[in-house]
Amino acid sequence: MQVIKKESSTELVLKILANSARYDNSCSSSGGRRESHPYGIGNSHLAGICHTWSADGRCVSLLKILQTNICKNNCKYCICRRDNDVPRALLQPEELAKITIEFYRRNYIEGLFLSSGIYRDPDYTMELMLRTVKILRERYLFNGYIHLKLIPGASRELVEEAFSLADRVSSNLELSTEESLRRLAPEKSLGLLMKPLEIVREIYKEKLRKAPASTQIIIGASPESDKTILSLASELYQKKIVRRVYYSAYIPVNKDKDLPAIAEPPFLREHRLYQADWLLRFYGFKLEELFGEEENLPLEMDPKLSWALRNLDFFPVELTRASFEELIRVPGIGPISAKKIIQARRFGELSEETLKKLRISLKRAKYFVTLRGKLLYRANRRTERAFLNKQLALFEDKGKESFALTGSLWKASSMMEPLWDF
Amino acid sequence: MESLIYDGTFVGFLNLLHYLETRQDLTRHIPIWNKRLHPEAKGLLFYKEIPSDIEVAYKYLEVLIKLFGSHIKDKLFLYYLCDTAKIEWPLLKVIGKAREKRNIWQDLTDEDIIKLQATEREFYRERHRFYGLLRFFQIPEGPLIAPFEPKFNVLPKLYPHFVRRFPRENFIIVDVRRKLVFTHLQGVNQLFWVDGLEVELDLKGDPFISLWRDFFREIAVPERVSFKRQRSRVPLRVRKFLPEFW
Repeated sequence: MQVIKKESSTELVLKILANSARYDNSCSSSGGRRESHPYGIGNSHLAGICHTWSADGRCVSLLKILQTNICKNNCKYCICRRDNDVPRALLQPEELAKITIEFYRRNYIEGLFLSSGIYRDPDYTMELMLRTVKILRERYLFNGYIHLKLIPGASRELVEEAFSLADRVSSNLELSTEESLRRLAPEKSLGLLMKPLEIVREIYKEKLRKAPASTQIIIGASPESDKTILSLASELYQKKIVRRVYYSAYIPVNKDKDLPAIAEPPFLREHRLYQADWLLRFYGFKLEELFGEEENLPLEMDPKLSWALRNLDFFPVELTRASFEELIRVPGIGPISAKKIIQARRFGELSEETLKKLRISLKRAKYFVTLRGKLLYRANRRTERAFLNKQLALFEDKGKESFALTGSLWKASSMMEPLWDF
Repeated sequence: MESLIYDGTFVGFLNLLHYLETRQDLTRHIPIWNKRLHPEAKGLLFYKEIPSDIEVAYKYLEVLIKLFGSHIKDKLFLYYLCDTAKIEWPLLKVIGKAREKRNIWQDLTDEDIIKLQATEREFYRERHRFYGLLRFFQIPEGPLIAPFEPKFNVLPKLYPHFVRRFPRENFIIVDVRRKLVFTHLQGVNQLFWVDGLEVELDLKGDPFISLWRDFFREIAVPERVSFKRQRSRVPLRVRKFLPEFW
């Protein structure tokens, strides 16, 4: 193992540690209501400020870095695993705090996202990270955003201290079942990984709000289905343990017989999981609604469209009367469009023209809505037929029955034209 | 064809609106030029320069406040800041309609209101973008300086964020295109126009630039590289002052 010595240049150490941190997904500044020091530097009141976008098109808002990539654990999917022969480095707390402040002054970043490999033992590593954060908060009077990874196995006092200094904390659950963890990360268990999050929840319980914590789950390194993963996420949301679950497509960086051989990382699956997660958190969907008989979300279409095609009896939704909750269930209509529709209804009759002016895209929604009883979909257009046929093919025979049934139902309720003629 | 030119100040903008409204012919759209954005407009053959008369502006504003309430002042100022959006005519039409129908400002079905609201949203998006994309450069032994070229005149609505963020720093923000400068030196804030601003700064001398560029390169996941997505988020027009793209 090549360990970069203390006297090595900061550039080299920064490169190594940023490189090791890049697979961590949870790196957004969600804002915070921390009291600011009046003479300090920075604030974290605003959420969602992106300072740049890296070559992978992802927002860079925080200095995402490891304190060290030296790690005593040997998780098979991790680039920092003990057995890997990669350059190792450790950034001293003073040095890291200085870089953070100088980056912040230049408005390169919104704050710090600090994680670490487990160096010596969990408490030692956590203390090292806390020293960095303390220098920032106490010496530099830094009021900016800090996201701190909690090291599994660190003592309760250190977790509490981390929570008091950071705006957000997180502990990665990595995999969603005990069995997978045993196979791929033998030093870890769900209980161990969950413990820091539970401590944070206990601290936050009096406020009856979700703890400002997050977690990350790797997708595709183990055989768990989307349903298993989302049910874990849903449970975490319900128990208010985390505010956000991040999903990270497994990218093979190591070779091991226990790791799946994949041609390319499951980015689309990751994307579908985020969409489903959004439906759970902001659209009022329940977990059971997102899955039919399959255990995985369909990759060919987004989960809302998939739900809509399984629940055609819910449609068509009448745009002039539907409630906000009904509108956001229509594929292609999100909360912003739904609000616009409701606001526009107060000022007169909705028309296709108005919807166009409001920039509400009806590309997908038109198959599921009516406007004063009239369908917005014209059945004789070849391209739209092709769209429907494509969707139908995905649902095989069972889906077709459902379509046919609903089609006749709509016809019976004196619609202007039948939606589908089979 | 006749064009109208105003000096690019808020007073000039109010004078322009007053002039157009008193003409009472809102159907014929005359081209309008902001002198600060288009100094070349003075070379036009037929143009009328709108004088920036503070009394006219004040009186016009008073009339509008009496009609619509004090919030109209903030609205007009915001539309003035959207200086490249060419919304003078929709704005005039809405003011005309608002005399008949007071709640027109909330009417999302009105074509002109839709235009104004879309521009407003775009303005705030641009401001939010520069919360993140503004870059400060350390001048040796001097203040931090941040040049930028926004699409709209966002600086008057942008600087409070940085004053709150860096209360003890000395910094200067320069809108290079409009020659508008904000300074926060020794805790004193000033916002002013600087005509003939021709300062050559060695922005590349900042020692933290190379460290930032290294970090920026390393943080991207190679398997996810998508320059298309990156370009859609960081358009080429804003990259000039972003050291990570140099």
